[in-house]
Amino acid sequence: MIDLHIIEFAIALIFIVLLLSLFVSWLIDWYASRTNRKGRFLKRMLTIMLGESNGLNWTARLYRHPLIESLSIKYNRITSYIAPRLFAEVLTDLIIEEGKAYSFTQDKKTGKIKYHEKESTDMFSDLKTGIDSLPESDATRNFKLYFEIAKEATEEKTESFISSIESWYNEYMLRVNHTYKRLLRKPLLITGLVIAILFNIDFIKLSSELWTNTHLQKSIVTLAEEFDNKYSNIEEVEVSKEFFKEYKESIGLPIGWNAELKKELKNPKLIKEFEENSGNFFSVIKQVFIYLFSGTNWVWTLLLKLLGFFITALVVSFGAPFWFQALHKIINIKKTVGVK
Amino acid sequence: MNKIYNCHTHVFNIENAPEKFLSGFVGKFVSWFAWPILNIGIGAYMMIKLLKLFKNRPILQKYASFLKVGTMKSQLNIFKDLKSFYNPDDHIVILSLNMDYMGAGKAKHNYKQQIHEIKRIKAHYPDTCLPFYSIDPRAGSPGELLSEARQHLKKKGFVGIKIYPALGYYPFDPGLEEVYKWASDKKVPIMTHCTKVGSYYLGDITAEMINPNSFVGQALNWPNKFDKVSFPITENLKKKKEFCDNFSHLYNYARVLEKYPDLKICFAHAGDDVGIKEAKSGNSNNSWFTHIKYLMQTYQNVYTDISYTLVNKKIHKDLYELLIDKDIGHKVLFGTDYFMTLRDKSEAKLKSEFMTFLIQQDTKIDLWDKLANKNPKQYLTSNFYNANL
Ligand SMILES: [Zn+2]
Repeated sequence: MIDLHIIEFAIALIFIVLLLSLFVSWLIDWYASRTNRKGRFLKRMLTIMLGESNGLNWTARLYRHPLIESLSIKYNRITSYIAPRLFAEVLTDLIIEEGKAYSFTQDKKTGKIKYHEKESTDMFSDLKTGIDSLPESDATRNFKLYFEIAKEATEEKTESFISSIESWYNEYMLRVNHTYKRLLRKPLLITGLVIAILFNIDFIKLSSELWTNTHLQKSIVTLAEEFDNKYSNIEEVEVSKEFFKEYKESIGLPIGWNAELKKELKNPKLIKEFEENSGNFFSVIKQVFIYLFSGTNWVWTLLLKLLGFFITALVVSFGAPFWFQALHKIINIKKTVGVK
Repeated sequence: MNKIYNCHTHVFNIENAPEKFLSGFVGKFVSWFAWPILNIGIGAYMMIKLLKLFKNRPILQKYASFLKVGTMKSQLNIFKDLKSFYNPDDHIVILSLNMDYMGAGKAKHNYKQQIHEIKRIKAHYPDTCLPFYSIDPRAGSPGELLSEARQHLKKKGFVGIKIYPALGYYPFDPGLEEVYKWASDKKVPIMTHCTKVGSYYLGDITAEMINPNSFVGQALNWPNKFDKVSFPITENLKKKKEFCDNFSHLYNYARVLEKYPDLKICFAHAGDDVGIKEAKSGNSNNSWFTHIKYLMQTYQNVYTDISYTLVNKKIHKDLYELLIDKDIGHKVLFGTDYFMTLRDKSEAKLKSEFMTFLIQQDTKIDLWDKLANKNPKQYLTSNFYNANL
């Protein structure tokens, strides 16, 4: 029989870790949108997909196409999403453009310059001219293959070509999204560590606090169960500054350096100094250093503290979806145990 | 008032330039950390905002506008910006630049893409936009270069050829002869960058650069008192910036011009304000301004433009004297070097300052019209484009 106390302890701990992961992902999302990380990543991935051959830079062409360019909100922010259909249509248009003969001529009387483009016969034969004019590359080989498939279609041949490109893009995008998520692991770890240090979230201390303080544990479990009831899917959780503020207040967790200093300082002189300068950021930092490096067992204190921070970062790097699932499972276990 | 011809502008942006390009402008250190920032849209945006904060530091304000243009989305947008300073029926020469071989790494958007985007500008503004096609002897065989050049002038709306030897080749490179021969025959204008400083070759100096092949012999008529470049080169082999001056030295062009005396070529920037000051000092025979004037006097189709140089108000008087010179004054062209000049002055100010200066001069002829309309028309007219219509 599993001890209910252990389960409740686990629920509280997992819930705290989940909130922390949500907070860290929220920060990363904010930064990523600020620096247009996703948009730049998409462009980089498309460069790999389309490749470059004999100087024809498909990605550059694509992003300079008026239909794609107009997706970017600001001149210096490239779009982070291109719909598959649009991608396929624009690429087809670019292939046709590549094969299209054009010229500028000057009127012998007025001196005015005019732009001429070769009249279009039908789109599918324009497409063929375009593909034939492309330099050899992996992308060109794909286009040729899709063209051969389209040739076999009884009607809507160009449409068949466009949908082949669309499926190619869709398949590739699945992998791109997967890679993007995988690449987030490192930022999660680093941001997690920074947050852990800044707010003094030491996993070891946190666990022991939750283990011993049953009152705190109970109130967190209640919140966790409410949370689990409310959301059946992590996508439903709408994080915001208010969201985190509310939880921080209702949980009343002993995190932050101030709280620890208040508890741990033994030297009356230091306590006095600490109380006098409690609002001062630099004074807090100074106190933290004195506290960490001046005790009798300071090496141990420090190592333990660092280990605590590192564990925090490590668990955060599993990501919020993982902890969301974990919370749900353990609450279900508690339910069955409770029934017994 | 007559239509203005601006004979010298650039509209390429950060994506057209290779990674190390910036170091030619702001130094290695600044570019090392600025480049990645500028390449992130928001980074450039914040850098511009940051620079704008320094309200009482005009120099930083100018860097802000320089960066703003340089990091703008497309060449078309930059051109639209530039065009806003001119009347609808004025003409603007945009000089493309092949930076694929300057030894500065790869550009996000290579030269081929740059040209593709220029086609879009030309299709939008066929009469306003007069592009020059950039030729680099390392970009293909002599035959390929010629056919590229010919095709772009005949059909694709380009009106001239741009060369930029400081990017790592000599004007007498055998790869260029075919193009010279053809250009000379068809009266096609060539524009060459010609100052001792500027963006320059960043790769390693090769044996071929120290002792290059040439399709012409020495310039026999070159005055003995002028300095010249002799090969193999023995000096500045380690100092790239100084070494690059060997590429653009006017003596190299004199060698070409002795073989093709009808070549229509413009030495941009009139030797730079440094060259002009040097010409008035005791070192006159080494000044590129002196050399350019000599070539203009000797060859009927040698031109110069006042782009960038006109930024410096102190030498307006010298440019004026050049313009009224009875032998060569008809071969001085108006140009601004937008957007390089944004570090110093806005396009509007640059243009109006010099225009006002010329109008204030007590002359019988309309000098502004000569500089910005009459002379450019003669320069730009070729078998492929008639500016006199
Ligand atoms: Zn220039």
